[in-house]
Amino acid sequence: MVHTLEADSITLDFGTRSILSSVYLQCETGKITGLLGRNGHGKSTLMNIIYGTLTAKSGTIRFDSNYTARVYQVPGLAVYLPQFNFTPKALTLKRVFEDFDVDFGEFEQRFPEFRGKYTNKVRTLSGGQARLTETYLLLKSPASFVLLDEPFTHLSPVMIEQVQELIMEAKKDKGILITDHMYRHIIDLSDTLYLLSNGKTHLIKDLSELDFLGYAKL
Amino acid sequence: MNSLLKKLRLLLSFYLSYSLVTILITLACAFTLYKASAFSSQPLKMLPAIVWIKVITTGIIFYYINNYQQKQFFYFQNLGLSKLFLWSCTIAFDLMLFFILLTLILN
Repeated sequence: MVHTLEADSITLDFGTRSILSSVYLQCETGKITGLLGRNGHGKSTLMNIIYGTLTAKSGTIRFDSNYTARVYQVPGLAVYLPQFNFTPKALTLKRVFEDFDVDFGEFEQRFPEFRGKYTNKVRTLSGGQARLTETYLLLKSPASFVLLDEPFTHLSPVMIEQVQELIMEAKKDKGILITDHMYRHIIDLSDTLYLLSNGKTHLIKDLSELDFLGYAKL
Repeated sequence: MNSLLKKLRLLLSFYLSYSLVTILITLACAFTLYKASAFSSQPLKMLPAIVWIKVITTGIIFYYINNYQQKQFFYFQNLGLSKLFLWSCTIAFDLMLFFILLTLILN
């Protein structure tokens, strides 16, 4: 069964500056939804509003057409990878994998560089390793939707390829909303693509629209 | 691991992220009350000031964590625990420790 997560008529102002103006966006399980936009155009803000950690001035978030106030408080509905590393550094990898109910053995097999690090604290990981671990945990968690805000930050090209594979695997039973400045990766991955520009989302049907809307020359 | 135990462990992790400061403050308050009860005939007169110090420092810790260490909240939110739940449980536990300690000293 396909589930949908929608943000509808989302409006947000910071003082006199309008950030989001009647924004609409839809994600579906089994699909990857890409969100592109220039710096400061409200991509992370929109993700926070969808996740429920920021309240919009107006608008609704709906899961399967039902109004949902705080998505993150609905068990198994969604998880969110923010732009920065969020795992408390004092925790061990063992503890973090237990918290998310994810098997470390499979992770270690897939990423041999983590072999022998099961009892290491998160603070011993490099920025890229921590990012990869967090992305893996969220993609393997039982949530129906995964919101990924700049998942390729700090990652080497090899790691980026591995994360892309993980995302494609996770897509089979999850809906994924992804944003990153590495727009070519986002374009390649996405089934549906939105551009956030001047406070509004534009559903991109042809890549030439990205040029027309002033985002990128392809 | 069952979900209640998991929640308790997550709450403990959050509490440990600021417990060093808050427990030191509790101990300092308790020590002050202990000294007051040893050298004064009316140690209870000190109690309101001690409670206010604890309340104000708890407020400062709350402000500091919410503004300068807010990244960790995404960890707990991804596991289904809201900020409100984390704060209300851990502050309640911390204040309970504080009042138990003060009661033991006064008795």
